[in-house]
Amino acid sequence: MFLVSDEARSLHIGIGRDLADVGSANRSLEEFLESRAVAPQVTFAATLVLEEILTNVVKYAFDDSVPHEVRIDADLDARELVLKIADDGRPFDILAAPAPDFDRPVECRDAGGLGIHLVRSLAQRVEYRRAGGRNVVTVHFSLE
Amino acid sequence: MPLHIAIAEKKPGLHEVALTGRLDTDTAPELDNRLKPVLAGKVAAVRFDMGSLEYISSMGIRVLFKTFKTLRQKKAMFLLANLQPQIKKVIEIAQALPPETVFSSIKEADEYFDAMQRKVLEGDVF
Repeated sequence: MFLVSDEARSLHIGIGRDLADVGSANRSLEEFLESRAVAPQVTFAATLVLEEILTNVVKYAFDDSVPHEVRIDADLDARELVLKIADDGRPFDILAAPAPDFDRPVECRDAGGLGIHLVRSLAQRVEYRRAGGRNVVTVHFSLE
Repeated sequence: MPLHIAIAEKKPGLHEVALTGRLDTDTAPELDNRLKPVLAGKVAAVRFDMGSLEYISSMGIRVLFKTFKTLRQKKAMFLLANLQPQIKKVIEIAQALPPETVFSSIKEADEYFDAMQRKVLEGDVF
């Protein structure tokens, strides 16, 4: 993982395709938000959402063995925190992914789709677009 | 903060797993490994003390879910106690564990265990 920049109201991080980088990126975001006095519940939700998205990208986005970079941008204004995660992996629309089948009894379910369900539940708004060969997921959290 | 795991048999068959720190992508495999010998042995219940757990992600929930399913197959109890509010919220959103397995305190979970054990001895369940 490398920290691109840590500015007054924004943080920019790049990670490779190593699962260990997910934890490092998460800790950087947590430190950034705590140092900017963001409410603990927003920090908790944002770090959890980042972990879920990055874990999914690192585990499933890449079919080859060449290096890749996943870019994370966090921007704060007075009203919201915006997280943007961009990867050059296979197209994957996080908004179109199926939710866990809550109609089945718990003991008959598998745990698939749980991370994405948490992302969609904990964020105020999630957007997805495919641009320039990249998946770009933008996640909004209200600070109010 | 990494994850600290303390496992102890508090009563015959009742194994306590006390978690401190973060149960996430980094640490979930460690919990999975530590639980294996407990689940492979004679077990009536696994009671998680979540009081000092500050963070959980889907990878952590998957380990709990897998443990729940293994214990259900063994006709043993899965008990989750003492959750911090943010952990309780994530567990509720995930809907991966039955609400009746979640207890507000260790005392409440242990009382449930004792009551169920009495029923087993009296032949009312299982």
